[in-house]
Amino acid sequence: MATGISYNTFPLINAANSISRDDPESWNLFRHIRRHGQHHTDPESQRPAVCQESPLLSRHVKPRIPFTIGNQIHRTLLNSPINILLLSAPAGIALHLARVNGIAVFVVNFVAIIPLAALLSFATEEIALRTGEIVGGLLNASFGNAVELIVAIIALVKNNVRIVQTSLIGSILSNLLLVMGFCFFFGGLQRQEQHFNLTVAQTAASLLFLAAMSIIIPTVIDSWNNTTKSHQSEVTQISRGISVILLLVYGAYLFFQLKTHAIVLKEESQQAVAQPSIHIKENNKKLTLESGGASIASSSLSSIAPMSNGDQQLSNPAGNQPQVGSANQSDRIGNNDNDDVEEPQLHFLVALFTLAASTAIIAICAEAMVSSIDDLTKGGIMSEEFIGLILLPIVGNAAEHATAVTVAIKNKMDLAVGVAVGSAIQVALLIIPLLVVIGWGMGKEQMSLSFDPFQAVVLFASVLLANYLICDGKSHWLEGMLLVCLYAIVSVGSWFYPH
Amino acid sequence: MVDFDSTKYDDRDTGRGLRQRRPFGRSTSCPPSTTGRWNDVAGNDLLSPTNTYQSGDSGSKPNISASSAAAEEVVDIPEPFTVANQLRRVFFSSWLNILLLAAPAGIALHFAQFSAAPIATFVVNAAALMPLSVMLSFATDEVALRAGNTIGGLLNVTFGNAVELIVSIVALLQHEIVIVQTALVGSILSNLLLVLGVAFLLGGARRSEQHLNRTAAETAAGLLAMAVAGVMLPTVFDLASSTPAATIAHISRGTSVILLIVYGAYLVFQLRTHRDLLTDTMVASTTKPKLHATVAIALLVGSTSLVAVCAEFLVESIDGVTEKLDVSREFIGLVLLPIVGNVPSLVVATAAALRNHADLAIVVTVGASLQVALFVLPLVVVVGWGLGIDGMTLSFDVFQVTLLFVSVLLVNFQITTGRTYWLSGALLIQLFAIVATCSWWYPSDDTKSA
Repeated sequence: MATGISYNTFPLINAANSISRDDPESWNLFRHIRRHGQHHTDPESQRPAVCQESPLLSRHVKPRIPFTIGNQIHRTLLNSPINILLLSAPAGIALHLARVNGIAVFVVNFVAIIPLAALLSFATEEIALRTGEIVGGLLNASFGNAVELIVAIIALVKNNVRIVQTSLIGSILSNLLLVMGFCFFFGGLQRQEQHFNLTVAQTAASLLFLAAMSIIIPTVIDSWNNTTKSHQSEVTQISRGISVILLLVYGAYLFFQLKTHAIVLKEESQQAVAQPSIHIKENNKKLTLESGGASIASSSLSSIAPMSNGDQQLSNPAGNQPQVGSANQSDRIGNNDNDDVEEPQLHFLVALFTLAASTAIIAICAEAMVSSIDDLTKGGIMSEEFIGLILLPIVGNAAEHATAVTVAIKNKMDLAVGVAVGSAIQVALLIIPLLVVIGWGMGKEQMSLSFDPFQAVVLFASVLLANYLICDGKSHWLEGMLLVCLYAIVSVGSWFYPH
Repeated sequence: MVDFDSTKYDDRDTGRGLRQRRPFGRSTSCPPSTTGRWNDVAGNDLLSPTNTYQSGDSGSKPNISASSAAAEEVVDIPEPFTVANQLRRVFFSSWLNILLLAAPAGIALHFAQFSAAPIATFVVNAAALMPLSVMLSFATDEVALRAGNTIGGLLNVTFGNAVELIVSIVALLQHEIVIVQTALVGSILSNLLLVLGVAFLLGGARRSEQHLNRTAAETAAGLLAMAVAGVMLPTVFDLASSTPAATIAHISRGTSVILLIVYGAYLVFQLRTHRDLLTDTMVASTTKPKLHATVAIALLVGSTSLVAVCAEFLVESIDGVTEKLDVSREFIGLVLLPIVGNVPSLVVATAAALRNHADLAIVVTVGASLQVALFVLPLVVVVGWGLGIDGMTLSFDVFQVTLLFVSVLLVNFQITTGRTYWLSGALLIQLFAIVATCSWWYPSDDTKSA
């Protein structure tokens, strides 16, 4: 069965689709695709991804090519054209110190953070490669949404609670509506429908609903009781209690994903991914890899009847594949020492330094940006709501958005949905409660879970719509269009929001 | 089986054998490839009473052997169009057409202006609108039959909602914004709750469950949720912040444009890319048209104008009715007016459910609601924009928005599981009863309008 095709496409098929930043293995897969596409030719390494117990705290990785200063600099600074924008970082800081017009400061720093965020996630992944599952998961969890966290903390320190809340809701919305919408839309243009893991989708739906409720309840208590200043503390106390509960829920979710149900989630994903797509070329390659004889039948079937009744005809051969695939997989369990899909690109110290440096520069640029928001809104050009809800989330998520859409077009809808939904859950269940707890520590009374009613309703409507659309585990282009249009409606509303 | 008496709907002229029966009304909601003829893959008319097609529990795949035997009995006699049979098909095809006599009566009453006139005018015009809407759908189907799929689909969309569209625009021109909004919400609610509920109830009465095409149901659920969100967001915006009316108008207009784009995408989805998804039991048939082309177009034009006239008098009489009878505007808009426009879809949906085609019932009713929510409503806002009426916005009364939200939630729960029971229908009807009760006692306060 071994053909000349690179084995490294194996992990792409069998991989965990419970993709999230917390799961280093699946996250490795994600960025592997981001950087190398599907054709990573490495015939010597022969490393299929196998669900194996990996060491918890650290693992030893060896690079194929030894690290030199030259290639380190090349890989950090020169690996993508977007890094040109890094030049705007010093420019932005200079502009901020020179107290130039707020709009210029905002725009330049905005542009600077985008490549910095990409660099930060690259460094995080490199470090996570060397740590075990738990620490890797935690690292990805904390630094995954680092930009949002930094912006929010800076705004909190400046007592701008509205911006904190608005930017976090905006982050959830952009992941849930914009990213997922584009994934469904562009992925669905060429196909009847795409599948993704049902368990992941349904778990995510319930968690999102919980998060939405946890925001709506304090908001409703606050708005409909017309709480005066003296009762503000009660709302804040309620919020703090709820935040602690949400953090516990997030911890449980991590445990669920990484420990108790990791295998279940990964197994199911095989079935989903194994359903052949309409692209015959990809199909044939995948099928010849996974299963010997059965593949020929199924690929011929798929070429005969690509469009109509995609479910019916193709699901039967697809049903055969998981068994065959897993049989292959079990043959190789003995071979594997580590779960890595690829070798490290940076030396550990270099990665650490990059992480620290990009975090620091992001912090400075974010501060410049947040301070200049006042200038933007004073001029009456746009409302604070629009900046927080629509503009700020773009900053932290731009690189990921592009990758998720690319992955969806390649019919890896599991990954795309996992990234989008996982990121939304992280913001909703980790970052928002974390901010409330940090505010508790800093003694900020206004930082609570009582949001603006408009934002609460928007969140609720988005979670509802997203849940309806992902609950069946299938997507088509119209669903993507609906999500994007809801996002457009929200933008229209926030543009006109009163100051 | 509960016998739905549809013999009166037969076309008596097509000779022996199976009737090529036309369902009246809202074929707009179904993918226009069927343009009103509901046939299964073997070409049998699914809604014919003499069809020996007997469905099992799943109801989605016909029994091919039985139906192919039956199919041989259909004889296609080419029938020349004569004046006599044209007249008969137009006017005598249904007992409901008796009410056509109410049309001139209603017009006369409007001009006569007796003291009891408002109530009488209202009732008579409403009665006249019922057969007129049915005839309008009939004419639309006939014209669409000759027009091909896409144009036929578009025709169905425009004229299928003609009654709501005309009533809304007439009310808009008279600056009765509350009536416009209430009538549209009422149309959505009555389709989703009353019509669908009756269809599920009757269809499920003798069966343990009815099956639905899950993908179609879930797409519909998503679209409904989208439509509700489109209405909810400007309303909440208005409530949550004290913004001037001009800003709300801007938001509503922007949102309406987006909703129209969504509707366009839905049409593309239905007519082009995923046509097979939604019509797995229905196939475009080759039935012959019943009306001569000119007669069909004349009927279309004639019934549209009559509908316009009756609708105008209806709306004008509402003021008088609310004063004399002490009935709230909410009740008229939410409950009474939509019944008038929904007779056709009630007929089709019930017939479909009785023959175990819950799919069809859903397509018709949910499709009709979607058309009002995603097409008629934004279109009316855009028309108001053109006319410079700032008050026509998507900011509704909170009561109505809540009703919409709750109804969509309940309907989505029922249909996304893929199976319905008679209880599903009963729940929907009961919710409609609650809506009617609340709106009867709703304080008719005109300053409460958006």
